[in-house]
Amino acid sequence: MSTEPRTPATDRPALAGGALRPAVVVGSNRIPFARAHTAYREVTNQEMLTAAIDGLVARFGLQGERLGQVTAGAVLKHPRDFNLTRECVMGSALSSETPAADVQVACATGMEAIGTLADKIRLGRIDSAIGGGVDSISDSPVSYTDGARRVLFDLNAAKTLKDRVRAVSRLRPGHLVPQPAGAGEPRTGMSMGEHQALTTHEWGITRQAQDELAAASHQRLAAAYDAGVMDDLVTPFRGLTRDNNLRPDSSVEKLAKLKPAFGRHLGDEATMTAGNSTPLTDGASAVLLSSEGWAAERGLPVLAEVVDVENAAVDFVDGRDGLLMAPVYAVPRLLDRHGLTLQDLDFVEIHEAFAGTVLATLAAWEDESFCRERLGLSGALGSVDRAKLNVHGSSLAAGHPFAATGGRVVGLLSQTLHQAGEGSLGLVSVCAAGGQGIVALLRGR
Amino acid sequence: MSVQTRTRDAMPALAPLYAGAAAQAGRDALSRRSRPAELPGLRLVVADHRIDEDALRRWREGVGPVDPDALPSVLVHTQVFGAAMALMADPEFPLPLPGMVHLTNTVTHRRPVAAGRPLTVSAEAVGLVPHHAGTAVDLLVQVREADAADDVAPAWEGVSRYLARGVHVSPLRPERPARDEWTAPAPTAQWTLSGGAGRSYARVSGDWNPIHLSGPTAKAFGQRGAIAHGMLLAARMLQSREPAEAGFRWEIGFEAPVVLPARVAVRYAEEAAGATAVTGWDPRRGRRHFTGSIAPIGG
Repeated sequence: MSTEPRTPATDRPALAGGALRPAVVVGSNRIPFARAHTAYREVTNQEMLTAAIDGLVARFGLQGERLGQVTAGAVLKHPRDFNLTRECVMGSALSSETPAADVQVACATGMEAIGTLADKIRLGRIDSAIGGGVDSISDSPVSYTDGARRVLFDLNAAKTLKDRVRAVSRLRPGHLVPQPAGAGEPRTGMSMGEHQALTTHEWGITRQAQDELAAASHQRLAAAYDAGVMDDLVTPFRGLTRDNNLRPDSSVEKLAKLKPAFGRHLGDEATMTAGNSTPLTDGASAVLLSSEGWAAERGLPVLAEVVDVENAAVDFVDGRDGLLMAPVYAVPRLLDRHGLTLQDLDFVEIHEAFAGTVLATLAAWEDESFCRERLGLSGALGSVDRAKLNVHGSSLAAGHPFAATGGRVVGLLSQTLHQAGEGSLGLVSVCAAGGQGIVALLRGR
Repeated sequence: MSVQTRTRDAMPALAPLYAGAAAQAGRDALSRRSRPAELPGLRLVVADHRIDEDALRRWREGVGPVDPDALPSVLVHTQVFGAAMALMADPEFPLPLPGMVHLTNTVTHRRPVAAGRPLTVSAEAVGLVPHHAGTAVDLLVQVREADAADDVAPAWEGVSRYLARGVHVSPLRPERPARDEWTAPAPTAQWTLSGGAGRSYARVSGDWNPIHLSGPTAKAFGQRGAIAHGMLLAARMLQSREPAEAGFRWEIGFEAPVVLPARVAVRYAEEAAGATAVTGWDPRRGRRHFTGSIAPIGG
């Protein structure tokens, strides 16, 4: 029998029989987001994610530190980047002994990374982590057709000159037409914008309401930059100090001049324009998570606690639900688990994939019959006070490099909650392709 | 009417049938030969027919994934329809094959059809149907496992209705049905068909009808441009919606042809338990291309 003193049960990790412990957000960092094919047109995913991680390392003095895990991902990823996050870690100032993982849940990739890392910390498997994501339209992969691939594989397998000639002779001009990534939902053939146009129309969201939301997003993000809110969240990169999609002078009048870009089949009832839809964007973000003890040992701040995360998916293929409506289902489940209502929240961050997405989400929660029949609630979930919604602007202004959005929002909301004070509550909602969505509840520290 | 059975050793290929029928049409025009007014009363049986690996490969390249143990319903159609075409290409068939228009297809797919397994395929013209624009004919094709008894319901059974425009074999001329007022609903899907979709599906199906292959060849036969094969639309309609254990029934009725290249707006709507109604249309002109349905047998 061992004479070693046993660790008291209270100090043991939850995995070994102890209690769950909080996972907290120490801080975050992102590079300014750039519209596709602009400032970062020559920059790779790996360079951007490494920059976001290194900025975070510099901000909190983590050079040479071995973290529990770094998890990130990219939606559009070259096959050569199969180990993207690990490669970024090895190229960063972190200890090369920091393990890494790639994840991918479309536009909610960053949320999935942060949610699973927070759970690992709560369980006591790790003490510290970085979660984030990166995406580049400018650096997106282009593939060959299946026909060309087959010829190339056969050519590779050919042993004799005759076999090689036979393989090459099967190559046709059409085989060489490049296949760009991510043209739309594979099961419907419709782009995300076309899907959202149907949802926007179904919920009767007006052009005016969408343009107002878009203008507010630009104005609020511009004000946040001016007030220094973004100083601890963004590190300049490749000549950019602010998101280059940001238009501080955006107004409803200017936005009203744009022609519809999606749902043109709706004719006069088409409402979605390039102004109230998120542009394709390049960028990266990273969030530092840890246990309270790990932060305290290093004298690092604690901004917020990651209380809980909920994933959802909807059956969108034949239009039963809108493609981007999964968070509508996830949020009431998350709130119910904690005995909370929408009115208990101090800040609500709903990712602005399209202005129509945010407004349809709010409309669904206000619709009594939808909430009863589809969400299984006893009545409407309720309204979100617009003064609490996307207070510093969101993706319509900042842009939306798919996998980087989760980290941007969690970083921003954590700081906002910290400033609001201990116990303040915030919600993050991010919709994603494939009818998915991830939402999270954060509590200020 | 007594039905004779004639057995063939191999599935007739479509291309020579088209060519032979075209030549016959030319000779008929010169000789002013008239065709019989009645169906031949003939059942064509192809015994020991197998759907081979080559057919699967062409389907994968041109349409999509294939489970060799449960072939897509339209793939089965492409591999057995030669038997029906042989009947239609016969000089004694009441309607001339060249220029025939595909109107509808109804398929009952009871059991999975596997690649490489011996099948007994029988084809028969089962009815001439007076149509306001001419005469239509229903071709019934049945597929049974080679070891299945004759009284076992076929694993796969399809009725294809074709129209011969301007040919009236009966004095009966139904009124042209009034066009129903139709407004395009909200789409749930969009298909993008390339300019080469007709050539690509010709490789899959062996149906090299010139109206599908290119603009010039289609215009020579009176079309606005190359038009998509009806069965390509059926294949798209059924993609990833066929139960692996079969036991379903589907139908499709063609309206305005899809001129390639094209974007087709599509709506899938669940009408009853497991039964889906499908509509395809041209989103710019608001014209309907097809309506269809997919439902469990007996559902």
